[in-house]
Order: sequence, then structure tokens, then C-alpha cells
Amino acid sequence: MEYKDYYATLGVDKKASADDIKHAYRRLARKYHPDVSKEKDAEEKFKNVQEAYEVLKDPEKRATYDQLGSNWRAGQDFRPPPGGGAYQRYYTSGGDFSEEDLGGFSDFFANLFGGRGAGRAGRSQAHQGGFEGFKQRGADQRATISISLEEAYRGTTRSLQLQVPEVDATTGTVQHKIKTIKVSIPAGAAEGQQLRLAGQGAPGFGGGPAGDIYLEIHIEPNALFTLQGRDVYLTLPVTPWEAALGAEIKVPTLGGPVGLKLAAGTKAGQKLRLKGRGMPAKPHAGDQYAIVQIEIPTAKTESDRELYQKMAQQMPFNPRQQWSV
Amino acid sequence: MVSVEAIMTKKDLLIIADYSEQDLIPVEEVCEICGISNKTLNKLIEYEIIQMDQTSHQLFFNVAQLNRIQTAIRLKRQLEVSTQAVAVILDLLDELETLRSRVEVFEKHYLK
Repeated sequence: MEYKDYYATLGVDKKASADDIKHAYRRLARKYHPDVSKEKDAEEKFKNVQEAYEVLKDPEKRATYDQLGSNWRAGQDFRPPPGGGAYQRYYTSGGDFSEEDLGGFSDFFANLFGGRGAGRAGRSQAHQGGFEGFKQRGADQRATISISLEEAYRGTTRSLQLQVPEVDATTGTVQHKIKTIKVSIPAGAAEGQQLRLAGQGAPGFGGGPAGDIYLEIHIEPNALFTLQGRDVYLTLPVTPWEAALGAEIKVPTLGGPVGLKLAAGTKAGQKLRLKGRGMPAKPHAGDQYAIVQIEIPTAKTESDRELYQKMAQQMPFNPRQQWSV
Repeated sequence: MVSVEAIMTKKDLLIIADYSEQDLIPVEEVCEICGISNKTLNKLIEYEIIQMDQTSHQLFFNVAQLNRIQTAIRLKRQLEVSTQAVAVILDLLDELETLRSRVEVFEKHYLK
């Protein structure tokens, strides 16, 4: 088993004081907390930091760790002492970290401080020795359902499979059951929207209730449209003469193409609103916004250049007239 | 509502779920799920970390509110900050999300 250097994880010396350890934890927690950090692998790094802090902040655990790891050298494998670790009654309620946090700690931690099978790969909490009378809610499971923007607009169904631990009623052993979930997603589904399947997660411990399954919707990026809340944005490329003279243009929307009247004198960057053409919602649907982008044709031939020069001569226009240069 | 049907083999289970039919979660269950007391939950409400419907004396929560409570508890516990600080963090995260969304629109549709 891989030895975990908790001091290195927190970036502190082995002789660091309790204050140093606390400050190091707080700095790294701010940096890697998955709710606020956009760093790569933030969640994994945060778990490592949490685990290290959980051990090093407690004088007794720290002493145990220092003692058991004192003969370890870099590159060696670590062997826990026979008979398990010193902390069989580690998991107490009301601690700084929740049972959910502790459930994510490594096998190395579990072997030092008790809690059989407490690895991060997912564990059943139903078979931890030495925890009689201890009641704990089962872990929740989370999954993401990725759908296209069109599917979010129209609604869709999805099937997914999750492996969830379950305690066999007859043998009492933990088995992994495959749960197939058929989900109906209504029209107007939003990014991050969650569906809770109560009691379908991992079994509880000591008579505690089972956890839940949470399914979160993720809407994939779209080549044409950008979603912002319930509104949808689209770039509308137009020619200079369409912008100058006005035009009737067919514009795609999620619900199908619609005609849009471009007014004469439309400017680049102008935002044209198509009311109710965004995502379905209550009390009213979002809008679609077409952002005007004037595309300038390249002068490829002599005739094209002459045309531009004629326009320059006949339409004196200085877009920089407000500059004093 | 979620209907659960054991129609496959012993190892498999089929769950049919519908996003448009979400159960509301009673306050006692919210406290149990989040591992907090009623007092702690009331404190989160007091600091407007979750918005409550004042007119109906709301005793039920939807999934979005549950998730926000879980995030608040997680931040408070793991960052070792006060409830007031958690309220500020969540407000800033909301604002950050809005700004990121606006920047995405700006970069994709205005900066070509």
C-alpha cells in the first residue's frame, strides 16, 4: 500500500506547530475546495488535504501516524501494523468532517485509524467492525446526464446504469447491484438541474437510512447557440448592404426557423430580441437574442476595389471623427 | 414520483424517474440528510442562504434548496468559516456563475 506523506501534502515540516498546520490547511482548502476552485483535479487534491489535516490536527492521531510511519523511506511500500490501526472508534458524529467526508479517505488512512474497506472506490458502511450501536446514513451517489441543447429544449428520455452497494438480506454480505434508471427529462431542462431518487443510494449502517441518488443535468455546448439562463444567443452575420438598407432574414431558433426583419441602419453588435424563442420556462419562456455581426466582403478583383473606392468617394464617412489625432 | 420496479434479474433494478415530478422534502428529512439540527437550518434561513416562501410558512424544500444547504454545510465545515461568511461565499459564487455565463456569450458572439 502506498504511504501517504501528510506533511508533504500540507507543505509543512514534520516539526510544524498546530497553528502552522491549521494555516496550511486553510490556505490549501481555499485553493482546492471543489465548490470554489477551478483547478484541475481540485476534488482529489482537496480530499488529500482534508485527510492530511484530519490526522495532523489531532495530537493523538498525529503521534500514531508519526510512530507508524517513522521507518518509511521514499519509494517503499507501507505495511500497516498487524491487527489493524489504533483507532477503531474513529468515526464519531459531531466531528469537524462529516461521515461523507471521511468516507472519501484513503485505504492508508483506514488501515491506520480503523474502518475496514474505507477506500475511496466506494464502500459499504455496513460492515465496519467495532461500531455497534453506531447509526449512519448511507452515502449518496451522484451522476451526470449529458444532453444536447436541442434535447433540453424539446425534452428527452435517458437510460443510465449505476452500481450501488446493497446488503444481501440472507447472507449479510455486501454486493453491488446494477440500477438502471430511465429518466424522463421535460422540455426546458436547465443546466445543473437535479433529480433526487430518495433511498436509492448506498445502504445505511446500523439501521441508518439509505442514501439517495442525485442525477444532474449537463447541457452540452452548441455550435450555433449559447445558453444564458433561459435566454439563447446567436450570432447573426449580415452583409453591409443588409445592415444599411434593411432586410428580411430567416433565422434559426431551437423551435425552428423564424423570419426576422432587419431595420435599415442596423449597427454591428446590435442585439435583436426574438421574444419567447428561448428555453421553455414558467411563467414565461426565455428569449433568443441575435447579435448582429457585419461581414465585410473581401475585394478580390479590380472591379471589387473600384466599387469600394467609389463608395469611399461618394459616402464620406469618418468613424474616428471624435478622435483628436 | 419515482417508481421502482424489480423487473430484471436479481442483480438489476429498474427505476423509472421523471424530472417533472419532484417530491418536496420535509424539513426533518432535510436535517437528517444534511446531518444538521433544526437550529442550524434556521440559522441558514436567517442568513438568507436559502430563500423561503415567507407567506406559506414553508415546511418543505425542493432539491435545489437541499443542494444549497448541503453546499453551505460543506463550505462551513471544510473551510472552517462562519455562517455569515458562507452566505457571502455563496452570493459571490452565484455572481461568479452569472459573470462566467455573460463572458461566454461575449466571447462567442461579440469577439469574432
